[in-house]
Amino acid sequence: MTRLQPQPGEVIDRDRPVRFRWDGRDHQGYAGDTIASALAAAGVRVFGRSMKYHRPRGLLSADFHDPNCMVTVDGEPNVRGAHRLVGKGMDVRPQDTWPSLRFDVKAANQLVGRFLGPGFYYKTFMRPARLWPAYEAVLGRFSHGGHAPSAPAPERYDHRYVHPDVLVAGGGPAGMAAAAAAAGAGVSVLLVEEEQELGGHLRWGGPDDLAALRDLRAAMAAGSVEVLTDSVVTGRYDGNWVSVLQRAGAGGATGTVRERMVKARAKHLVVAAGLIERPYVVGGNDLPGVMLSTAVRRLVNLYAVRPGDRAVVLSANASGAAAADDLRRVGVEVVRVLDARAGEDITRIRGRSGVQAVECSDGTVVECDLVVTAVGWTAPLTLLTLAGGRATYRADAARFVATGLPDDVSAAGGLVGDGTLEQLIEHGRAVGRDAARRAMRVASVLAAGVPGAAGVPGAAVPAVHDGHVDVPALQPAPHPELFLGATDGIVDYSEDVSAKDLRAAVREGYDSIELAKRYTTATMGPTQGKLEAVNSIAAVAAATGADLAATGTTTGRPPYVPVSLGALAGRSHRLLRRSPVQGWHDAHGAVPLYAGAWIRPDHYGDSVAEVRAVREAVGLIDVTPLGKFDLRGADVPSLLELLYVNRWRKLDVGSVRYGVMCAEDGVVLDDGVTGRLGPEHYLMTTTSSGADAAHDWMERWLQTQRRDLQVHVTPVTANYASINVAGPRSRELLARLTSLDLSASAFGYMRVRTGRVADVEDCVVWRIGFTGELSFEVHVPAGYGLHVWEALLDAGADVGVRPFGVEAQRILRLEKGHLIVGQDTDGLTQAYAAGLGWAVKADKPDFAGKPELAWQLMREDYLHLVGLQPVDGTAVPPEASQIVEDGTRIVGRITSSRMSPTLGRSVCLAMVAPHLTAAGTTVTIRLPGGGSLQARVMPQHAHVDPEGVKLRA
Amino acid sequence: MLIPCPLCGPRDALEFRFVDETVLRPEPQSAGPEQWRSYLYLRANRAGAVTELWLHRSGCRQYVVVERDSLTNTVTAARLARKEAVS
Amino acid sequence: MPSPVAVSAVSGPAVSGQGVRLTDASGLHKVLVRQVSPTVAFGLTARPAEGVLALGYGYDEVLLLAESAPEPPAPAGAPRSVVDLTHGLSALRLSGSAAPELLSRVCALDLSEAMTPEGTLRCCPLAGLAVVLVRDDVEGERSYLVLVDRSYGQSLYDVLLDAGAEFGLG
Repeated sequence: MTRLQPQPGEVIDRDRPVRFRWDGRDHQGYAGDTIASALAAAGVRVFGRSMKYHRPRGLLSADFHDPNCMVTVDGEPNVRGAHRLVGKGMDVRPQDTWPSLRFDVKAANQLVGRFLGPGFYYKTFMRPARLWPAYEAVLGRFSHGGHAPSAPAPERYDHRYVHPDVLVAGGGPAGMAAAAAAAGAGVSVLLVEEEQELGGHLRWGGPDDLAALRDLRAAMAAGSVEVLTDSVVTGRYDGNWVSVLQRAGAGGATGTVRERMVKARAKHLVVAAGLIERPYVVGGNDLPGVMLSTAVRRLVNLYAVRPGDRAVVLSANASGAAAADDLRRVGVEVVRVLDARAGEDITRIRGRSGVQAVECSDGTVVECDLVVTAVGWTAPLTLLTLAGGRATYRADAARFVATGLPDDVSAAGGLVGDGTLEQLIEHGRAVGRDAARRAMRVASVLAAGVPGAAGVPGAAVPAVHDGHVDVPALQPAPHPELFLGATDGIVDYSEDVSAKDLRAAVREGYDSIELAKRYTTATMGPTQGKLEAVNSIAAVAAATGADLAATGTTTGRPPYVPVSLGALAGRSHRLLRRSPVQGWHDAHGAVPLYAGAWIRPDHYGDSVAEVRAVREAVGLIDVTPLGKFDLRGADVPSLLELLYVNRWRKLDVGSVRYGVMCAEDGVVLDDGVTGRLGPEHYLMTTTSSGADAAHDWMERWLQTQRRDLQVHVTPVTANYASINVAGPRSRELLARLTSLDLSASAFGYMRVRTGRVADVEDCVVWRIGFTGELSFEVHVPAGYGLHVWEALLDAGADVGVRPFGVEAQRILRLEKGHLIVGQDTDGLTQAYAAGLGWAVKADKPDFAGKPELAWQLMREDYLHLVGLQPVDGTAVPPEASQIVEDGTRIVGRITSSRMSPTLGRSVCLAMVAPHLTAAGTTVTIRLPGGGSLQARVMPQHAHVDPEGVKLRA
Repeated sequence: MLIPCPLCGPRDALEFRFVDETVLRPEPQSAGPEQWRSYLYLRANRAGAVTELWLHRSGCRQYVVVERDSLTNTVTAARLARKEAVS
Repeated sequence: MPSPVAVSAVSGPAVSGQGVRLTDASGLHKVLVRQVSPTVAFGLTARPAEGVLALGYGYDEVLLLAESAPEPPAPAGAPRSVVDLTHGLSALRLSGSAAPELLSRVCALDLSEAMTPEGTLRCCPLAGLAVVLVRDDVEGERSYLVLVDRSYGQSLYDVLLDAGAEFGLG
């Protein structure tokens, strides 16, 4: 192949040469060349090797869908070489070859080809199982495609949401006409085209085509159509949610965005995807030098590339004839044109590393280096079938068409049928006008019920609302059925599946197109069936004796083309919730703990010292993530009595009570304290991880089952910074910063006050005790949270105050036997099992889970939560270790486990079977790595200060 | 799938959370175990017209009763749960 | 001892780019009023008094925003509750002709003039965060207030700053 004289429609700029590297050597092309066209002009014929047999492969379609030209560009794998434009300094390498493209050791596969039948993956490399790691290592070397780079791409991947009135998929003549007509009707239009430029087949056509192309492009520039080139519609979902993978122009105003997923809610979708030319299945059809007629026309007219010297053409339609004309025009010798309509055929194509000769059906053998086929067209129906259309086979046209489209999707142009250029454009125009009309109807629906939405500005598009748009009929032209030749050839070039493979699959019992596809992997490669689906169906039909209509198609699924994970992911953000004091924690050596969306301090370097400080002096912990809810209304006690197992009616102003929340199956859902701040004002707390679920749960009752309750619930979790001051000197410390009387007589255990702390008004202070020490929890309006935290640390320097983190708190509460819902309880733990029966007031008329809790009392079969101490006090069994009996029977598990600094020995909470709950019982803990521990059941959950003397100080 | 939220207008179903089929809560004082467990665990899972409770969790945070065809995935109506007639 | 100063959850500076500006408006006073007949319908905004923006915030909720503490409206029907959420919400203001384009990177809603005109608000997800997006043009310039749970304030700022990289925001 060589470069020709300038061609009328060429897209290369001969004034701008581009130097790049291919397979280690320097090459030169022109701006506008694709990698493949530049290499073809330089005489390159072999671009890669096939997947299984590693046969040499050359250009087949020379466009976006060419399966033989996948290359690695500057480290980016699986680039479509016949689509990507050459760039200065690009380093392009072939894929799937070792050690080199010319001499590929893996081509030895051809010698064992008869053993590499379909489904050989399922049959070979199975035994012996112990060799699987070795098989994996070997097969890994033979795996298809390029290598994913190990360093992240420097450019970004991003997303964008758009709301076009009409989205047109396909920028050929019909697509452009539809877009222009819709824009002319006053609606917003987005046009998506997979090639680098608009125009479709007009680009490589004759003078009339080029003239029409100029007019249509001018219409695009004039109107308000947003055009995305080098972009593909990857899927259509419910309600015309359409995904578009954008490459060119993804960068936006300033940034470098390599690829962008544009997510469109289109009011109407027009699919103008055109037609894709089918290869012919005949022996030798994958040799370099065998091309489709459209490939020849593209190479000659767009890139001024001479595809060969001596050509044989097999033609069944006008494209074949046009390709022959183009070849003759540029001086290629067209040795023979076989008229497929008259029954002439190619029997076999001969050659080793490229085409050398053709055996014709009349027995003659013609020497040549280029074989051109024009045996038929496939309509790419996937987007239409994704929208609910059905693919129906038209034997007269040798093509599948789509029927039964929903109201918000239509098809235009070659995808629907054939005609003259004028007819295709007129069809596109009519579909575009109709699309605009239907889009406006959808606009009204989308605006309905949206507060303040202006809806459709009716005056702007008067003619479009009413009336009917006549879309002219467009029928597929008659075409002979030419799928399988006299000898077996390749059906799926990407997956290296031949007609023989499909026949063998059917013989083995995979006799439907869905089964044969999965067994052979035909249509499962990067082309996703565009070039090979119909030939696959024909091969299966031939093998089963059915016809194509009965065989049918496989179900198309998005994405339409492979999509990079980067494009799908877009920008990734770790969305953290932060307390106002988090900056202080970060600056003072806190090791972070990620709990749900919150970032919290796990410890500040020494959790044991933190525990000691709380037991001996005073510590501060930031518990801002604690779920907090402001409850107002006369019906709050009724709501609380419904949600919690406890009683709430007699809770007086200034009192705080601990509550247990169960679900309707009696399982413990959440726990926390609620304080009454005023006659109709309560502050409810929940666990931090359960706060959102508790909110949804409360609102569900209030909005559905108990609409009679007038309660206003406002989440205030982040509204307050919450600081727990814990330890024997906590009262002493806090008293320095508030005028509230904190003495034991004035401020008893489980009481609440509001007042001023560290000069901040409206703080809520209550006396509770998760850690088991005297403690006060201060809820500060969040903007002042850091101020109060620092004020406490400053004021308490002389009493030994230090901050403590979540880990220290876990140890402290475990020493006191306080359970954590979700840690010491699970999805089956009903209230009595967790030892929370004392809170259940069964005589209440109704509360969530009441019936199940009543029935739980009648049973004996559930696990109980107990305190446990390993006999060997230095051993700390891992949480979730199983408790076993007689070596094998599981009778419980460890739910919480730590070394206790206060006692100097390990302490646990565990769920155990009812017959093991008696104090003093010895149980066996099975450790995860093997081995076991003995442990003793304690009389109560608390290991330290079981009477709770310190709490009530 | 688009759900026409009664307060916000049509929104992507991803903004919502499916909560439950609309089921009747038995009288807790008198319900027997079989009746209560049917309320907890058994669902019709009908193919065709269904009535469901959804939560517009990323929007107005209202509970919404949705009429949907589970075969065609078309939503025919959506009403605020708090405004439903008491059954 | 000097009076303590309330600190915003957002620690990033005000930034501007090509046609877009991002500032922290978290210091606004925010008062949530719930009553049987709210004075502003859901999804719409109003200006009941000088310097006060009232948001139709929830089914029966109105959120009042003001530079200085706003006076809740006279109760129309009992029961009514008033909760101060000044410290519970972070607020960022995104202004400029490119603001809707920037938002289109992270928000799936149709922000066109027809669908989200001046005087409307939308409770919606923005880059995965549940926000209240308020169209509140200032002196004819396109502007949005974005409200989010206070604890997510810094995360929201980070998301908008990142989305603004394309527009030179920084």
